[in-house]
Amino acid sequence: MYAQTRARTLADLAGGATWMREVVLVVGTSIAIGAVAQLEIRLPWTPVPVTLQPLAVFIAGAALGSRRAAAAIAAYLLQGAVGLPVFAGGASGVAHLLGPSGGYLFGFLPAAFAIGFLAERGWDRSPVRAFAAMCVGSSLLFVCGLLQLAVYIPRDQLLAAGLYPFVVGDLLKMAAAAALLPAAWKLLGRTGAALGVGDRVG
Amino acid sequence: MTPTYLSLGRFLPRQSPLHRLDAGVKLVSVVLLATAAVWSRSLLAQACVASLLLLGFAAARLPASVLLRALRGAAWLLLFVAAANLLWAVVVRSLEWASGVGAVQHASDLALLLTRLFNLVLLSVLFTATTVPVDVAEGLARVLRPLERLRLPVHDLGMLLVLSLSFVPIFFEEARHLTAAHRVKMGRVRWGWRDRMRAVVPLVVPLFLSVVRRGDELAVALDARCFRPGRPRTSLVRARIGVLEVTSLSASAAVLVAALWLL
Repeated sequence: MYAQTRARTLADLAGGATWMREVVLVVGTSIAIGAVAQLEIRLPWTPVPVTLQPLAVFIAGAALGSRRAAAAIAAYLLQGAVGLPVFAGGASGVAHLLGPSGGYLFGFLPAAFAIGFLAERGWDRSPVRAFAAMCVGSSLLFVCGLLQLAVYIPRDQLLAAGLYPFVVGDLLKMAAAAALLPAAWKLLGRTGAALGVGDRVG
Repeated sequence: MTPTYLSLGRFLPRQSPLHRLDAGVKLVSVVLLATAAVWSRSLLAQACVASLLLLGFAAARLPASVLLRALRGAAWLLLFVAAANLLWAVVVRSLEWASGVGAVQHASDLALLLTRLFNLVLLSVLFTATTVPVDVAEGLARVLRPLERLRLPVHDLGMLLVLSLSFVPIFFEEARHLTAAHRVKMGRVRWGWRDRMRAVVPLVVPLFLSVVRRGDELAVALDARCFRPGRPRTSLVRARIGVLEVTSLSASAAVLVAALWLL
């Protein structure tokens, strides 16, 4: 299962995968997602904070692949649930997960999984397809987020509080991820090929 | 001195039945009560959940300041939910308010939302203050074990969660040391957000290196303890089902059933 001959995701380029390497990748990613959350911007009319987390989740999903990315998000959510200050602005706790903005946290899970699933099928190799994969992930994220937000605020304010403020920022994040990932493939694919573990599918 | 991995979380060591309660069972109880709090649409049911939780809070012998601090942390959410709903009421429902019926209905809706949030905060505090993080990961892996039938790698996932929980505080500590060192080198007293942003870059590389180094150490440590991925592990904390566990489960299940179908 660990003996893969060709790289399917960026993380596979790191060479022969051992259990320990997977653990370091997953745990490191979960910590990175928590670290990114520390820098938040609060908009006065919505309980949902603006962070760079979606960008980190998109990149993690594509770079790690579906299973590892999902495990990293699961680890991140658990860290927050047991009280480590990894949610936006150093918050933590079950209340945060089940509160108005918790849906966006749960949404990271399907988003990262979907992007990883698509990346394993080569969608992160070209900017256009990478962007399409990000769109899929992002919509899953917003569906989850809005569903849970709807429990707490009136329906007609839902989109104003949970979607519109984030569209432009998320498009930028998606574009950044869509530009970074194929570039990383170009860069690492070449060195990876030199090491004999690179991608030859293209 | 409290070890770092305890002091970073919200765990408060006490001698209480809630602290002794099996982590897996506690997790299931939390899920049941959270479902009751989120789904129930009656104030009476929320009051039921709140009273059970307050009972637990008293049994856990936690100081009230813990709850107050958590509520202050959630003040933003509480305020926002109240403001959003009030605004909606004033703008959209102002006609119904004239009749008086709408006002009463709306006040109860708002009370429901606020008690729901209060219950979630209370639940969250109670859970994190009485449970050691690593026990939660072990408990979660135990609770999810039936999913192994679906070929989900629950065992590996459990180990991963345990490792990640013990890793996070180490990294927080490491990052703190690195930023402190950086600040000393910069020799500046006041730190604006721009300085913070700029300080991120010199933080990333040493932190990354320390991840790799810790990973190596961990690999050696796991090897020395004969750990093999995918193989069953024994655990220091044994699952137990006693009077305490049965009481907790049945109380929370009863509240859930009452909240969803009776009240």
